Amino acid sequence: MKSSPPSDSEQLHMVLRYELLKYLRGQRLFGILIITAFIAWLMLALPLLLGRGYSSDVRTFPSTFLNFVSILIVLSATFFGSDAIVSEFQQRTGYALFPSPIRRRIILLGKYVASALSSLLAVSLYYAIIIVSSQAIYGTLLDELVLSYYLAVVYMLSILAFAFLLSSVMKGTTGSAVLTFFLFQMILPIIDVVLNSADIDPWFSVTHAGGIISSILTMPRAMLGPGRPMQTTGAAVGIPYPLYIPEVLSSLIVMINYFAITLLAAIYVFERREL
Amino acid sequence: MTKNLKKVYNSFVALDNLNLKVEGGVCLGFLGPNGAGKTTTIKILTTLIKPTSGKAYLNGIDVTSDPKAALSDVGAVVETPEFYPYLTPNEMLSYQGELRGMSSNEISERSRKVLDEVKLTEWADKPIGSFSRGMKQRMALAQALLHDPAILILDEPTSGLDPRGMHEVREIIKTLKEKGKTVFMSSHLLSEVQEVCDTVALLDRGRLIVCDKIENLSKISPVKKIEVRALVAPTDSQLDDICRFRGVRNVKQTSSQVLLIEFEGDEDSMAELHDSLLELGLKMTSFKPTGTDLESMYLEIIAESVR
Repeated sequence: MKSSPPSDSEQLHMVLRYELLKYLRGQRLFGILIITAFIAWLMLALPLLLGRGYSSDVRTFPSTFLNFVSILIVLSATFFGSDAIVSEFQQRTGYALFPSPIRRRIILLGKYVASALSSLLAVSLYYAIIIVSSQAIYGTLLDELVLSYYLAVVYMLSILAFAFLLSSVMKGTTGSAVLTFFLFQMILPIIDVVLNSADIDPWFSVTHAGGIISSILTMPRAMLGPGRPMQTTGAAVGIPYPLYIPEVLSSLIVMINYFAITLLAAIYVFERREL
Repeated sequence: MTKNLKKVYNSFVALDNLNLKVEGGVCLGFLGPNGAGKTTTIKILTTLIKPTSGKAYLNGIDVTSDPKAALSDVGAVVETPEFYPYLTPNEMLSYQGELRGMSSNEISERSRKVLDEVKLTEWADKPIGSFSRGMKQRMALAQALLHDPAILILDEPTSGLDPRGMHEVREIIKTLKEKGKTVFMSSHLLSEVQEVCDTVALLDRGRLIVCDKIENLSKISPVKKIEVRALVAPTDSQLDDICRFRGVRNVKQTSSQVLLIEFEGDEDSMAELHDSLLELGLKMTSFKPTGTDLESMYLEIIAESVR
């Protein structure tokens, strides 16, 4: 029986299907959707349960929601990206998969697309809840909210690509998951704050660029055009310091660069990694 | 085929300019002590690792420059692989079959056949996560056989199997050989290699020491070992007499009633030795050659290589 292996794109589709099956059977997809729905429910229910009601400002309501988007994206990257590659080595499943007639880059890309689709589902669900709630409560839909969604998708793609790079480099699944979560949720944001306090614009940081997802609603129009990033004054432990606010265009460029560079680096490392 | 294949880990040379050619339809046993470079060679052939220098070819295609084409007609079992625990054997075979371009009919027909061959039919729809090591080894063999490849690369294929499983796997390999498949298998079990393979390649410290048909290699070491058990311990004078018998090279008394005789000679000479021992008054309870011809050859060559 001599059959030729399918094309790269067909094989990518196969890897994607079986990776999605992994998320479904492993309850990961279900888990992230439950977390998303629960957080959205908390955001909606807490003001009412505390008897404070919703803000009268049409921008304040969704901007509160948007503060959680970056956490949701980091959680998705941890759930779907952090062990995607490293598990093939640590759990020795690569011994069965790698001697198959399929290029390693196709395995990685298939897994990446599966993780991107799963994360997109969670992010889209969250935005759908924000949009429907905003419409129901205020009867209006802000353009910036839609723009925020697109930016969130680009941010998600860049964080996932970075998570895949970490997964290609790391030795163990636990270490990879912990590093992915803490890097994007703590380490890089702390570096952003330190750079801000030293009056250095962290425009090159992906987590700083990701701040645009929520800041676009609180400081909208001023940031849409090119020019110097807005600078305001923040306060940490009572000490005022300059706070650089990202702008749309530069943030988009930074996120796209992170996506492209880290994904290519992940492919480079994975193709050379030995089992 | 490998051409000046070299693999260096830091300063350790795992493979040292290995040149090996396996003709189509040959069942080759790949032997060598631990760390000789057997698994390294197999990992390079199956693209799990890259050579430091040199080339490896499967079906004439370079595995490093075009792994997809090189592996398209190859089935491999490397170490004891793990499988996605959430998939069943049928699903795993389906995944592998799809990646190899098999139609759904072919996949379903071949899956049924190979799962039957490796005795996993009743587990076909159970998650692999619950399988024992031996069952995973059978599963590995099933996925290697799925597309009926022309070349099989098997790294210790009976590892982790019970005696019955080992016998079944050996029978499968013999059938493949009869079908004219090329089998390249590493093993520590010399008796297994002697039973299944027709050619042997012996590797030591990354170098190919010898590659020839088993019948030719058996001639390298004419010395056989014969274990003799007696009802009563032999006397010193009897031992001296045994040492003087024709063909006897050495006699070791491993316990009071057991002798290990190193003997050089053909079957007739061996029968003569048997009669001489009886004439000597040794009350023998057993007289049996130990180890295989291949084992004697292996030990001899490896000992020479170390010297």
